Parts: sequence; structure tokens; C-alpha cells
Amino acid sequence: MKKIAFLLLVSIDFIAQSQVFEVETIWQSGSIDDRINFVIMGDGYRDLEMVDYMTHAENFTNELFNETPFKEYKNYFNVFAIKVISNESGASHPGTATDVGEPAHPIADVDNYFGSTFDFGGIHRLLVPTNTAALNNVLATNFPNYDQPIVIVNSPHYGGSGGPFATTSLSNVFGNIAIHEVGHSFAALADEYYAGDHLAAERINYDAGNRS
Amino acid sequence: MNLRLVSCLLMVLILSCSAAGNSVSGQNTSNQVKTAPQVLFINLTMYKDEASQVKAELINKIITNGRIKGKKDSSYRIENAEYLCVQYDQKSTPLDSLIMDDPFVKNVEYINSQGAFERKRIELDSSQVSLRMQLTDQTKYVGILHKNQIIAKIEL
Repeated sequence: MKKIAFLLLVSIDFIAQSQVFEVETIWQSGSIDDRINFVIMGDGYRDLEMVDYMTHAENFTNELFNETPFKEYKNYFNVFAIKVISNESGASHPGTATDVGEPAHPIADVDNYFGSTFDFGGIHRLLVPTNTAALNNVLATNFPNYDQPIVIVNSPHYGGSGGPFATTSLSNVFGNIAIHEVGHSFAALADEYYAGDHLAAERINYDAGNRS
Repeated sequence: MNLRLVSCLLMVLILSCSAAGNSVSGQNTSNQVKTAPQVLFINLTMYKDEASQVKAELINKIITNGRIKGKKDSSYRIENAEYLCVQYDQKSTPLDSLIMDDPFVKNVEYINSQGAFERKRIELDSSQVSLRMQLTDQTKYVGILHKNQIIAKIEL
């Protein structure tokens, strides 16, 4: 029994490390060694939704390069899309947020690849891919030279989050969150609003005399 | 006699070619390891036990060819970091360090119902931690440090 459990664990580990997916080039201005590589991953897209995913990834890229300073520096960037396939479509919504009257939209438990869910930390709009190991493994296996990963979650409901994996849903501000988060993670820019004393620090665009 | 001599010479020739072949092959392998940059990906689960001691358990690791761009953390920040991932050589000399975010605090940012960005600090009992580091040629193991104490050792 122990042996079976061990083999099962080894198999799970092997599967976890061997996720090879198709990688599409959306925009390439030069070699990946001397350009900044944005790598988009989709969550909650089934195999038959890959055409939609590529449309969403291309729309995001167009939005990105319509914004300053990406617009002016487009030729310093590459954008790639990893075609990650989920078992089910969309994102989970446990209905546990305390900042809105739940359910703000239908409750769902979705078997998506990165565990993306609304209501993270009790905040309805906080859409987070919770399985960071899966994200790390997909990047390691398919695009280890990434500079900035971006997750697009296949849900029409408003949501997103920052951090190492800038995440956005397909809501009407599609792209805004991810573009904002890229400023943090890629350019080390601070928020230009007061975000709490614990985040106060000397940054390029933020010091004791300038917070706006 | 001549046949024996020829056989011996042929044997010596084959053995020397074989040895030379091994030698060249060995050198090539060694050079490839030194010239091809590699990246180490690590996934951990971190939690606090009943005694509130911080624990880290390896989920998996992947070593692959690649190069990470960007500048490294300053030595001042590294010296004052609470959580670190450190590469060590065979003699346990630190080679490179990566500052880790506090695994039990998530500072998240989102757009609130007024359409403005807002931050919230969320405290966690446990979390998945994912790391990426440029691997050095001399690295033998990686240590996960909490307050300068190794809490997990990952052999490569």
C-alpha cells in the first residue's frame, strides 16, 4: 500500500513537472535574450476555447501597447501566450466575500488549471490564481526566460489582482489591472496613492515629498 | 609474430582512441555545464507548526536552461531579510541569495467598487511559495532561511 502511495506521489510529481503546452508568439521585436518578455497564461479555458483565449491575449497585448510608456517602447518587448488547457471553463466563486452581498454572481467550484478564484481573503473582486506551484511549473517547462507573467482568467465578472502574477478577468477594464501591476513587478514603481505605512518606501516615483 | 604485434598495436590504438574519446566527451560535458546558464525553480509549502515554528516543505524543483534578467537584491536588504533562499557550495559557502516575501502575509491589490485601486493585507496560516533563481555552477544545495536559520535544505 505504501509502495502504491509512493508511486502515486511520484506520478503526480512527474505530471506536475511535465506540463508542455503550445506557446504562441503574439508580438516579437527581437531575441528573447535582449528583449523584455511578457508571457501570458490563460486559466479556465478548455481545449475548445483556445481560439477565444488567443483573441483575449491579443486584445490584451493591443491594450498594453496603446498605453504610455509601452506604446513608445513597443520594440523593446516580446509577448508570448502559453496555451494552458483547463478541465473546466471559468473561475471558482465560493460566495464567501464579506464586502458585497453574496452571491454577487452564481456560486461555482471550477476545476481550472491554476485554481483561480474570486472572493480571496473575503474580497469579492480579488481574483487570484491560488496554485502558484502550477504557475511556476508551467513557466519552468514552457518559458523559463520570462520577465513578466500575466494571467488572463476566462470569466466575464470583474476581478483581478497584483503580485508576481498580474491577473485579470475579461471585465470591461480588461487589461488595466495587469498594466498597473506590471508597473510594480517589472519597473519597481510604487502605488501613487496611500496604500498603508507598511508599504511606504523610497522608490523611483515615491518618496517622502512626492506620493502622487 | 607479426600478427601478434599488429593485434597488440591495434588493441593499443583502439584503447587509446576510446580513452581519448572519453576524455574529449568529458571535457565537452564539463564545458557545456559551465557555459549554459541554468535556472532553478522551487515550489514550497510553508506553514507554522503547533509550537509556531516556521516550516518549509519542498513540493518540487525544476532545473532548466535559461537566463534571468534584472538586478539582484542589495547586500543590505539581504542581511536584513527575514526569509531568504540561499545557494551553497560543497563547503556550505553562500553563493547567491534571494529575498523571499513573508509567506504568511499577502499584500494584495485590487480595484474596489468605486473603480480605484486598493490594497489589503491578508494573514495566512500556510501558503505555497514559488521561487526562481539563476543557478550557479558551484551550487550543491539550497537553504530556505528564516531569521538566518536554515529551515529546509534542498539537495540538487
